[in-house]
Amino acid sequence: MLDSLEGHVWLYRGVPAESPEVSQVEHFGEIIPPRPDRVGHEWRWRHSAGRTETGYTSWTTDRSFAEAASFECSYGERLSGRWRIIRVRIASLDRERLFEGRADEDEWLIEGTVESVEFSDDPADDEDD
Amino acid sequence: MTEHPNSRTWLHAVAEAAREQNVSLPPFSGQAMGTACMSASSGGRVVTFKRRLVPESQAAVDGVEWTLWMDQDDVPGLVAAFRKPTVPTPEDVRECLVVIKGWLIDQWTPDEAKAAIRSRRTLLTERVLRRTGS
Repeated sequence: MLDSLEGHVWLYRGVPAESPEVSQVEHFGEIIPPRPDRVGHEWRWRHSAGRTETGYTSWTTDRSFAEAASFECSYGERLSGRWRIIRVRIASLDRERLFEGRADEDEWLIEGTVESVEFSDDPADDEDD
Repeated sequence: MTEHPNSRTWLHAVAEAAREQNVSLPPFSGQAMGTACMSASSGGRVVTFKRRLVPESQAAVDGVEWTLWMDQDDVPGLVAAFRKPTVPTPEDVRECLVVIKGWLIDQWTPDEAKAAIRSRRTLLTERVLRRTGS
């Protein structure tokens, strides 16, 4: 399953600029899922179907997908329409906490707290890796 | 930090249509990585939005997914789902708002919700939504 990560260095995630995740990354370099108790196969498929109050967070290998997804969810009360892209190095992840999402999407789910997360403000930075 | 006019997004279009029609929808919440959620104040009814993580060429056909849920005992149960292109047309937005309002406000039954979706769009089966890569 993880063979499809071959050749990729980073996983990306996009969030509104006002998301609590932004300050978590700024101060602690980590992302904590909203409901760490909700893990297992049933919660993974619900997460991929849109109920993301689980023990997982969604990521993708394609930065442009994270941009497009962020754009779509950047509208709302108390949101400015801006977003941040964050990334985590795949080599830093425990493979037992990494799951493929939908078969017809480039989605990866990471179970539990994700550490060593950083901002990816410039796509050109990623090309250096 | 990146910024784009969000007037072309589904969430903005649905909220605007609701305002124009005096439909009082709950606010979107939990927005991250292309997902958002609207919850009725009671009854465990939820609608989620997801921008699928697919290439633009495919997204132009079926890039967003709307799903209706009924929660019971803190467990979300899938009721119905349908997909739309990422660029919302006025007609798509009107159809979508009818379904969201029907589910969250008018308290449609699951069968009524499925019938309303089926009349205009392909209703996604749970088998499709459960098809994960692992």
